[in-house]
Amino acid sequence: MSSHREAPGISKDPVADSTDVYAFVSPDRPDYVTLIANYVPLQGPAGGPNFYEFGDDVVYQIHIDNNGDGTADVIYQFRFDYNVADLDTFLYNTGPIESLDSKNWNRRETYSVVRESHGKSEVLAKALLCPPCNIGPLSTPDYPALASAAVHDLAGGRKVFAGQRAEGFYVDLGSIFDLGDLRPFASAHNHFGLSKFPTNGPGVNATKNLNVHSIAIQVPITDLTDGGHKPTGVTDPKATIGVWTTASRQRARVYDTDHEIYVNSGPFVQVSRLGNPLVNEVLIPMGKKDFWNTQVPAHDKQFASYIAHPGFAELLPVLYPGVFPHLATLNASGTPRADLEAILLTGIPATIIPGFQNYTGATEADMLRLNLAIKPSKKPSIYGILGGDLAGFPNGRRVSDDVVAIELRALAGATYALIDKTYKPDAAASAVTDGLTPADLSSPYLHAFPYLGVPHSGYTASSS
Amino acid sequence: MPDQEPAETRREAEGPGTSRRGMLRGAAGIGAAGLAAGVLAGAVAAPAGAAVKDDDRSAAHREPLIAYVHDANTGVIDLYTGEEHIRFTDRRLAARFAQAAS
Repeated sequence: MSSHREAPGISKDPVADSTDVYAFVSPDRPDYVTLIANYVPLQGPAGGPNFYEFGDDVVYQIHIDNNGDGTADVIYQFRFDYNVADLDTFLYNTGPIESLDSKNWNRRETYSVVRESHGKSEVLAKALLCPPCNIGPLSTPDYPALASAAVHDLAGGRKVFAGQRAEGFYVDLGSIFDLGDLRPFASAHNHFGLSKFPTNGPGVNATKNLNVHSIAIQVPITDLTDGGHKPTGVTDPKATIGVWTTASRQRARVYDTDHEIYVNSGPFVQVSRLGNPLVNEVLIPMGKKDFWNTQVPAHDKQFASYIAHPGFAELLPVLYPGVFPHLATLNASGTPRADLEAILLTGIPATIIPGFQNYTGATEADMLRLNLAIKPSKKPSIYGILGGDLAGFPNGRRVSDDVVAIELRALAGATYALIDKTYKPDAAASAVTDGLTPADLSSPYLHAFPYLGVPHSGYTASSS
Repeated sequence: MPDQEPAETRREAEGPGTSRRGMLRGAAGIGAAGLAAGVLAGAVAAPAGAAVKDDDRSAAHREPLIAYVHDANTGVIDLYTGEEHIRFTDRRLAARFAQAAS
């Protein structure tokens, strides 16, 4: 979760495995949008001597649709390469790395950034340095300074960063994947007859001391909108963009034993994508997950039935007998979940929530939809729109948004009343959670770009 | 799905030290012959019915070539080079591959 190892194929290819996408109007720079795509999931910080890096044989992209057709109008493309200074040592670093030009740093990764729009490509930067991974107090004695030096300024006030960050997505994976026994509600779980949990308990953050690799870019709002339009208000039809990320690999690969390298050849094809959190993870069935990863959002109508009739919503009344009676009735009716279709596939029309819309049209496409006219919230709620905060998920996604609780509640029926006023959600629907908040992170978010926290060091994470 | 196809295809300039892409490029000229020389002669020459000289081959293909016999019965062969994919049909060549693999 939210898309870590979410499909059988991509779970075997971590450097191409997209884990989370964030898109939000920057709270400290409200004329700029921050886009973040995370890859290389569930990194144990001590995982050396070959520490984590992006794939030099993978093309990473962040896509923006600004006219609602589910295809990209703006693409930011990132390609990586690495250099090894000394092939005769096994070490990542041969002494403290105190700056990005340190001679002690043996294996550096660099990247290029290209912006494409309607067939025109513009190289925004090349040979930019990623920071090293956070190894420990001797190898990376001032990691925040190293990471800050790897935030690169581009023309027009744009910023870019690519490298390791603390995982900011908090989730109790252990309970969710143990047949959905959410710890705060464990006593109400059916236990499959095993009677394992007599009492409820707090959530346990499975990502607490793990890292991830982030690609983050901050650009003016007008870089992303149709024709460089500056949104005039919430109802402006050009105010909403759709965002997703992809990773692509070349079609053919052979291991050349003469040169001891993999040789890649042929066109790049998409092997991973991510828009809204948890869609491929929780809603798309096993037999379709790998295929889903190869598709563009414009073709998501083929998956719409899995959103309209989510299997997870069917499970909740079974796992928690008597807790979700209204949801059970809704499930039994066979009525399509128009609330989930709006949240995940079309955006929310203007008539549903006062003062809000992020509707992009009838095209059903899984994209993270962000209404750029909504100002950053001065008092953010981790529950986003469900918490009365229109600047949070599912209006884009901020790093702190509790997308697990929001989507659990939506699936449990909390949002169905928005489109059917006669429906009364179960009391538990607005309370269901895995029991976590950002306080369960051990590396806090930053107040400025790239917002995700300082990555855990191998030394300290392995001793904590 | 044009937006799925990365538009940026060039390679970055080398920095100091040894990069994997640099190693790939160094191997590419050799790889073109080493990986797929036999494929190239038959695959490109046979459909056109024209001979391809060794010198022409080395000049035209600096990138590795990888061939995949998609269907030996119908002779459909996929050829991958650079960021290109070429599909063609050559039953005789596919049969030769099958024979070599048997």
